[in-house]
Amino acid sequence: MAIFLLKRKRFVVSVLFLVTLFSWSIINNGEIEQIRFITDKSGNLLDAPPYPPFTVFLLGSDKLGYDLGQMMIAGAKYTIGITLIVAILRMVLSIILSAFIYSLKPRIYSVMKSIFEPFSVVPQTIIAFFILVSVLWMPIDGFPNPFWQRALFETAILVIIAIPNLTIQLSDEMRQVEREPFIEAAKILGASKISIFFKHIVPHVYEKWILLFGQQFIQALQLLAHLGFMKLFFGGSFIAYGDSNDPPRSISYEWSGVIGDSISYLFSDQWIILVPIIFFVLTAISVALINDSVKAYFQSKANNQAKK
Amino acid sequence: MTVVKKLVSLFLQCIIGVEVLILIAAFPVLFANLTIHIKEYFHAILELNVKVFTLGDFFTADGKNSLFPFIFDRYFESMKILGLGIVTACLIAFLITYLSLIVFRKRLKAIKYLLELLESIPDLMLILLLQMVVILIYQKTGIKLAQVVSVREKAFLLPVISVSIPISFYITKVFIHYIEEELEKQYITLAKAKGLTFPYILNLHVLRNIADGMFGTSKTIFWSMLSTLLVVDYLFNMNGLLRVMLTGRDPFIIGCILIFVPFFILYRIYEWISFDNRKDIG
Repeated sequence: MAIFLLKRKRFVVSVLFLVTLFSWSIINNGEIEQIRFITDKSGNLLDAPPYPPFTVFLLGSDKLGYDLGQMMIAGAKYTIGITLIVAILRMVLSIILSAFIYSLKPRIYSVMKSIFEPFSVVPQTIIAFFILVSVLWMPIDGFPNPFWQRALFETAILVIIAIPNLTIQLSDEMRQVEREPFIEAAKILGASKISIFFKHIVPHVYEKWILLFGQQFIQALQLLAHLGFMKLFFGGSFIAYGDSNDPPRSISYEWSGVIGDSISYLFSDQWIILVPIIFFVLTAISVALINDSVKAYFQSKANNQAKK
Repeated sequence: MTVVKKLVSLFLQCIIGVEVLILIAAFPVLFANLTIHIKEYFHAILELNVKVFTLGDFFTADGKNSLFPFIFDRYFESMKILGLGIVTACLIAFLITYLSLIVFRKRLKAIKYLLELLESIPDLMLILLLQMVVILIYQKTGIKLAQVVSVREKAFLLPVISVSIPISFYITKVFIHYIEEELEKQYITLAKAKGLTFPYILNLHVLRNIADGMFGTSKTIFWSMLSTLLVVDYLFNMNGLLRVMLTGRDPFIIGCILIFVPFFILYRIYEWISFDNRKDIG
């Protein structure tokens, strides 16, 4: 498997991109360079932030003169890390749940399905926003809870809202495998339910799990982007109450937060918003490429088996 | 008799759905200040239940004005955009599919690859880029392609396009996938042997046979379009249904019911019809 994947340039490039970005972000001390204004020797103002890309900093700066490139790197560990954790938890919990659900009687199963139905009609973003807004939006006298509690709560909600759909999808696939004749044969030979699940059903569906993981990653990324865009940042949005009309700020430099922060620059200094967008798009595309390569590997494996 | 039974089960399922939505709507009470308030939670559930099933008074976010004529107005506006968006997305998908199948048949693999990449880009990013391009063209040339933000004039063209473009890649992908699967079947070989042209086979035979499968994916399409619509509501300052829904608990539950119930009934009816159809043929 490793050799097949390493031969594909797309796979190597995307993995390298994600790993470098993530580890660089962790190693980096998180300091962000700020240049207030640039003056010449006699003290005349030459340039003031926001600086466009390729002038002072490689990727430009925001309105306060902070380096956007360093900001993106500092935020990468949050964005990629959270998305990864959410996607993994979603998959693991759904797999466990669906392992219990798939063998239920059709009548109970269909009741189960209709209980989970609303989650497949009402979009995730709406449910997530509605539940999270009371916790993450800073009240006028500051947050009553510490950061880690809010972050934990948000992660839990982001995981839970996807589970109903995912569980139904996974257990539908398991039920399809269960209908095959070889399951019947295994039952007649005296296999227990547990051994049928692990020996016969898992080998048929685990490839789909890996592909679904990639999809969930992209979905979680999108959800995070939506929430950030609506000024609901990971771990809470700081709101400056009082005279100043500052927009809500994100605590970490999480990418979606940077987009939400600077949405008003869409009309004048486009790069402030374009830089996080590019990072988002690159991350999503790399995951899609990895997924694509893994899919190609499974296909070639199936072809080889068919030839034999 | 079976019809009555089906109607009763439809009704029951509907009630279950609404009940689940009520549970979600009362959820913030359970975790107010991140401590668990079970008593208050049940109280809130009860209160909402009474309100929903007796059609009590629902208020907008400020707690003074009644929700009812107002939210229907928003609802129809949003559904109009959504409906037009679906039509546009299908048109775009048809166009790409036909072009790639009839003209660029040899590059199909590359096209599929490209679609996979485009589909993975978060919709928010595509919409922001689209808006940016329109603004840039306006700044550079003075030609206003579309209204970018609703201030006095309502933006209409751009929201519809924004809702439709991100999902159209997905539709195209699924569409091409189904068509390819269908083209491998034996009757296509027969049709080719009879000397029928490829566009003819595609239009007359393949399209009819994949219509059912395409409808099966429409739920995913609809679901992700709704979440795109929320972003579009915010970005174009439109004050649509989804944005109103997020202002409070009453608008949220009513909005959820308004979205959930019609689509639920529509899908169930379709499922019965198609299943009965298949049974007749088989």
